[in-house]
Amino acid sequence: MTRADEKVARTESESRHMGEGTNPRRIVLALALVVAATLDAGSGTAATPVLAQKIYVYLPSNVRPPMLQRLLAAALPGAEVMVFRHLHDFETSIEETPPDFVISARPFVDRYDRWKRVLQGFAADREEEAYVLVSVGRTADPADISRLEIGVVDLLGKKGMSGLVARLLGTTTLPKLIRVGQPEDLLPLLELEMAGAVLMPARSVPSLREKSALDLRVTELKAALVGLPAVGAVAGAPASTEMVRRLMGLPPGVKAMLGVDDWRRP
Amino acid sequence: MKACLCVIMVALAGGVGNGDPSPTPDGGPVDTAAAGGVVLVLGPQIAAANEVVSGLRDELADHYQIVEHKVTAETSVEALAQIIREVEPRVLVLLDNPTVRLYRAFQAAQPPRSRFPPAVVLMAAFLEQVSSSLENTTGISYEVPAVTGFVNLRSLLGRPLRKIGVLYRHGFEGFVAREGELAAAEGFKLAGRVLDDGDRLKAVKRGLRRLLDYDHVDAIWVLNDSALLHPELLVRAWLPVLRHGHVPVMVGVSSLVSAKLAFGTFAVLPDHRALGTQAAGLIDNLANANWVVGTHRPLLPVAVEKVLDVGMARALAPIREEKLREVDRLIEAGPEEGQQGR
Repeated sequence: MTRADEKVARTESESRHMGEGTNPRRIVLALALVVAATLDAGSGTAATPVLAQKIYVYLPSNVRPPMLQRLLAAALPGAEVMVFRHLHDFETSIEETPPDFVISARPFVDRYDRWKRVLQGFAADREEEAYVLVSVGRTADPADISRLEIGVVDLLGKKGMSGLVARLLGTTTLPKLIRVGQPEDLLPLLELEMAGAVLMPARSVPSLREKSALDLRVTELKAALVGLPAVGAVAGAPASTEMVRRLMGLPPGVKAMLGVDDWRRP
Repeated sequence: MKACLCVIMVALAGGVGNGDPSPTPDGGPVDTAAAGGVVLVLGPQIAAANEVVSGLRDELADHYQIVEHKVTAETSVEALAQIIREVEPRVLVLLDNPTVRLYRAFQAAQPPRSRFPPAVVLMAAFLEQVSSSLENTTGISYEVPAVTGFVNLRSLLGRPLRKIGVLYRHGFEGFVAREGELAAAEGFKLAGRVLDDGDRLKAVKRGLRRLLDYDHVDAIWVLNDSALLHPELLVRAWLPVLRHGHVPVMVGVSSLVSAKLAFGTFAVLPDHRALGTQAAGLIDNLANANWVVGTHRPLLPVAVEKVLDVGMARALAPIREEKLREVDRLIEAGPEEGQQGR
């Protein structure tokens, strides 16, 4: 069994665990039925499975991957959807069993020539979002940033994140980065004083404030914009127009879990 | 009562990593060509340890060679010394308490003023105590900071969570005080009750009743202290009192969140893969410090897995249903519930 196979097995196992006898499972199943019914009613073609289309998703969020995977699989019948929790597994699986599509942060899709962006996520009518620094008690002093330890969600791996963060902070003297796997891991970095600040999307600040009683202060950054999630298809191969259409037609609740309001062709 | 005790014994056994006692080292050939040198991982070969090693590999495999050797409580100091001589590690990673005890014996057996490669301790309960006498050693605590659990529980509940009770033995005062300081920053008040001397069973009951009836706590936090969690105490002290307490109970062992057991409502556990990733960052820091631990104090784990007994939680308080999608494992009574252990 390859490592990718093991991850599939693990993901499937986790999926089973998530749902056993739980009310959320019933909610998910109900939602899936609604999704299927909506697609049927809306397009008249949604019941036709798109065979052999493999979609890999890596989008760190607080929604657990098995939940997102079930919702996506229900909305895209016939497609093989895998949602990854760990970037390394996502990259390894791409190498070992390449997918037809990836859904990930725009910097990830842009980073590799093998992917051609076929859909771009939009939120509030914008395809990029502002990143800000969040710290406790006082705002971060831009002059001191290089001396801080900065927490950030890992979208690209060690080297890639160094470049991205340097661009966002507008510095060549990179601070020490603490990369974490999911947005919720940023809060402990502040609570436990392991980071002087965390770098995160501005639109996620309200949910952080809702969760925490810390005196969170926001430092806005100039031109610190990151592309919203995008869909990449194998470059040079004809992307399935049917799958692109289906992705565009995902229910709003599922799109929201992917961090977008809607998809548009670039 | 017998059936309940059986469930508890299974639950407790499932909560602690029990490695195969065979002491066979199996590291394989060493490729010292790896630019950064060898990271020697010592410990049991259990699922949690494998996850930690996966996290280490994710981050370090490009620059270091990761060599694993299985050791257990039965491994001799001589066998460990042989492994270290052969591998010549740049840094050691020690997984679990028996491995730390073995390594302490190894250090003690070396001549005075011996120099040791840095060691990073993971998956060891109460790290600061167990590693304080080791040279050139740091690590990451295995106990998830209570504040991390409190914040997550608060975000799930539809009612205020301010005062949390904890029962502890003499000797844990410092630990509880530090947790209380961290929790205070998030607006929580930790109400601690030290166990009375004498009959342990009566002391647990009395302590819990004080927390519930006099301190009026909003939740109970149960320490991962095996002396307080053995089956008889659970059955005859914790469960009878908590049954009437009507407050959520936060534990640090997933198997204690079980619909059959009806003890823990919510558990926060270390995410072992992320623990390995965090340890890789610590090793990077050590490399930048010329492999001298110096003032690198042990870290606290950041990423957690969350387990919720949905039925219990709903019976105690309104639940914010939209937050359930942020929980790793939801447990509710059912025929397959027993298979959901970690």
